[in-house]
Amino acid sequence: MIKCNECGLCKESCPVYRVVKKESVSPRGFAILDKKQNYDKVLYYCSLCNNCKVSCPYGVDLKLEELREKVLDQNGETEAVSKMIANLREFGNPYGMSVGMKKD
Amino acid sequence: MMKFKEVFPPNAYSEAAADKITYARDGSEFEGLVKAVVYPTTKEQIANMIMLGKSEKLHFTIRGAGTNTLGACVPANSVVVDLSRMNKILEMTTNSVTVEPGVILSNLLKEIQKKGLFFPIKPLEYKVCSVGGLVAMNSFGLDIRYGRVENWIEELEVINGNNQKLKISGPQLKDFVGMEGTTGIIFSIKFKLLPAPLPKTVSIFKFNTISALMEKYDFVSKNKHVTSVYFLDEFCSSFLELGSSLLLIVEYDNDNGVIKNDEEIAKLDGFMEKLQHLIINKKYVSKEDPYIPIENIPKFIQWLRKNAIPCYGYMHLGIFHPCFRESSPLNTELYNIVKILNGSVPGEYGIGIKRKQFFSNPKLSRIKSNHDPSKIFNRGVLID
Repeated sequence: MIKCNECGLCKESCPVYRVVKKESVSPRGFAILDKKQNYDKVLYYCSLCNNCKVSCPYGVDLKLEELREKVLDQNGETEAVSKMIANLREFGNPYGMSVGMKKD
Repeated sequence: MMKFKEVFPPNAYSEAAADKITYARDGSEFEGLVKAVVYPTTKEQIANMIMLGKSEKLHFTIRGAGTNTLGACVPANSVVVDLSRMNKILEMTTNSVTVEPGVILSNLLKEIQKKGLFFPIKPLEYKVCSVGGLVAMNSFGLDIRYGRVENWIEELEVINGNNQKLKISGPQLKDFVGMEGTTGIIFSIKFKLLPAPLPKTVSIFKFNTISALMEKYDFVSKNKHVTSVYFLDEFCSSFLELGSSLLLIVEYDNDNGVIKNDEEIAKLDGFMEKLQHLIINKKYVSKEDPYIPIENIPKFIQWLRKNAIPCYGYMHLGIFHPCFRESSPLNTELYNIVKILNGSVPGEYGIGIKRKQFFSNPKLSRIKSNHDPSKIFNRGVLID
C-alpha cells in the first residue's frame, strides 16, 4: 500500500494532470485508487515521468508499473494494449505493419 | 441527473467510479460521497447547473485544487463542481489582474512577474493551490505583513445560491471571502497588484528563557516600524541550523533592522518555506493554528516545551503553529489548552468540517441564509 498523505502538492508537477485537469488522473488520485484497491484503467494515463516522486515532500514512489499490473489483473488490458500485443504476435511490431511495408 | 448532460459536454461531466472515489476526499482525513463530478468552464454553465440542481433538489460541493486540510471540499452526497478548468487570466493592468478561480497561483505569479509587478500573497502551497481556494479560505501568504488575501481583492464576481450574478466589492466582500464556498461560486476575481515588494530590514534575536523573549517582544512591538515578528522555538531554530534557542525574527519597514543587505534578506525570505518542508520531513505531519492572546503566550510556550512540540508562529498576530506527529494524543489536548488560555482554534487555516464543533458564529449563519437559503453549497462545511 502506498503511504500517501494526500496533500496534493504533486498535482501540478504532473504533465498529464496539467492538461486533463481531473483528480482521478493526478498522482494523488492514483494513490487514492490504490488505497481503495480500485485499479481503474485511468492509471494508463500516466506517462511514467516520475515528476510526482521528485515533488512529493514525503518521497512517495507510486510505482505505476506495479499498479498497472493490478489493473491488468482486475480489469484486463486496455484496447490499445491488446491491439499492440496482437500486432506484435502477428506482425512482429506494435504498429501492425507487415515487414514489406516498412520504408527506410 | 440526466439533464446535466445537456448543460455540460461529455468530457465535462462524469459519474465514473474512479472519479467518484477520488473526488470524495481532499487534503484532510475526511471522506464523503460523490453523486457526480462536473467541470464547468463558463459562468453560463454554472448558472444553468444551479438552476437544474434546484429543480432536481441536488446540492453542490465547490472545489479548486482540493488541498484543504480541514475537509472544506469534502462532498456530502453532492455534485462536485471542479473549477480547475476555469483557469484563464482575463486581464492585467499596472495595478490589478482579473482571473478565473481555477488559475494555479504559481502560474499567476509567473505572469505577474513577467510584467514587472508583484502580488504579495504566496502561501506554502502556491505551486498547486488555486486562487479560488485562496479567496474562499481567506488565506495568509508566507510573508505575513501583507495580511490575508481579503486586503488584496478589488472585486469579485459570483453566483449565489439564489442564482443571482453579483459584483462584490468593499465591505460586502466578507460575504464570500473566507466563507469556504458556502455562499456562492466565484467565477472571476480582480486582485490588486503592487509595483514592487515593500522595503524591509530584519533583526534576529536569540533567547534562552521565555521571560527574556517576552520582554524583548514588549519592547519591539512598541516600535511602529515593526511590520511582523516571527517566533521560532528550539526545535525550529535547530531544524534551520540557527542554533538551538528561542528566536524572534523582527521585520521593519525602515532601516531599524540589523540585516539590510538585499541578498541576505532574500535568503531569509525563503526560510519559512524551507522550515515547513523540514518539519514535514521530520514526520510532523499535522499542523494546527491556534490564536493565543498575548498575556497567555508564555504559558502556551511552557506547555509546548514541556511536551516537546515543535512550534513557530507570528507573535504580532498571536497565531502559533504547533506541529504534531500523525494521530498524536497531544493534538486533541491542544484544543483544551487553547480553551483554558482564552485562545481560539481557527486562527489561520479556516474551519471546514474538522473544527465546526469548536466554532459557531451566528453572523456566518446570517450571511449564509442571505445568499444561500436553500443550502445548496458545501453542505456540512463551516456551518450546519
